[in-house]
Amino acid sequence: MAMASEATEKIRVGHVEVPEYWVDLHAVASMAVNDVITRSGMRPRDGSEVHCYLANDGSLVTEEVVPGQTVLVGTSAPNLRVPISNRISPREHLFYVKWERKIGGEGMSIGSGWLGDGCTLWVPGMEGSLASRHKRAVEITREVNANGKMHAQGYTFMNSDNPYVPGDLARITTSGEDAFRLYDPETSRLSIPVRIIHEDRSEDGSRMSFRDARHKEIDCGTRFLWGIRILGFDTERRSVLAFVEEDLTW
Amino acid sequence: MVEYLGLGAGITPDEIRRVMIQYPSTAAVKQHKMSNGNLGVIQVSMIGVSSSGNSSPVTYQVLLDFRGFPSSTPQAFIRSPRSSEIRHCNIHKSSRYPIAPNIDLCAICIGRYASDFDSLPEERLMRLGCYLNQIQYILSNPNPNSKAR
Repeated sequence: MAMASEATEKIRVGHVEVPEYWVDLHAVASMAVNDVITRSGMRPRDGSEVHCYLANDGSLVTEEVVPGQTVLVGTSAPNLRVPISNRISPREHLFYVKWERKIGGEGMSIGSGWLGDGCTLWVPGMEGSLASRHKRAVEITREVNANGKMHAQGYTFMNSDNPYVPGDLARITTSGEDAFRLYDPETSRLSIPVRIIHEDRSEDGSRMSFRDARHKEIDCGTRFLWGIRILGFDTERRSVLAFVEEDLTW
Repeated sequence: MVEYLGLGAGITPDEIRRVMIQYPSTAAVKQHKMSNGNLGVIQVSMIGVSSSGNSSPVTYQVLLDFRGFPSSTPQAFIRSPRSSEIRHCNIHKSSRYPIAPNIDLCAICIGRYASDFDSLPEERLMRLGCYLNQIQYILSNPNPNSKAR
């Protein structure tokens, strides 16, 4: 009960452009939008006009923010395809992949299926390896569409000893405290550090390095989630070497 | 420490996003994209005052040279208004500088701040924030005791 009370006595303020940046404002009553922007320290100093948006559906808040609400400040509305507001702790599932559709040109596909709570979980995999199978997977982000339908993004893993093998596809967050980490079923946390290759030494030159991906972000927009392909899992250090899968990211 | 130098010289995309919280008008100067993927020069709009005797607001377009960041003190130049329109005593008269050899830029005098910057903790975001605050402070509070023009 005390926790519920604490949750409703604060307004959580994030920023449209900065996924990991949150400020909690103590509030026992509604607060004017202007006060929320100023007290959160997100009032621009260059004269730009910013607005306040509800984090769960991106709708513009014009008057007051109610305690318990989470809002985002920015010059434009948040792109809810980036699940900035609904990031959750990694949650493990054993789920049935009902559908599969091809993406990109390298035999990759995306599988999806329902979780118990009505959410659809999407996981990448190789074509033909997902549909009509039960898979162990971890959900790392979740968003709610305007129609109320929930969609989660995640990836599959094998077992505790050797959760990933070369060729596996996964996703990593690129900011926040768990950035560049994969789920470890041994710890139930995002605790496996991921090192993205610094240069592509493949024969066909098709692997995207860390630098290539950052350059692409400058040209094509940043991505909170990067799709990666695993090159190796070090069982002793429990770390992963991978490259960025362009078709799974942009 | 690893992150301090490990992220390389220049401003990372994450750091630019942090700058954009207070300066949404921030823009990267793509010609100065560095080989490590970071950006060497960015442009920021800052609102300062006209002069020590005239507090009317002036929007300054500031070019910030972060190519040596975080170990070296960045440099700041006014791109607009033009030198002839500037009355702020801590902004030098226009000259040509290597970061943009074809345009007139007016360097901002930061006084002895370089030594303060050197003594800041080795934490990138702190150094970035402190430097921006210093430039903002200079533009908003002209110091007639340290005249640059």
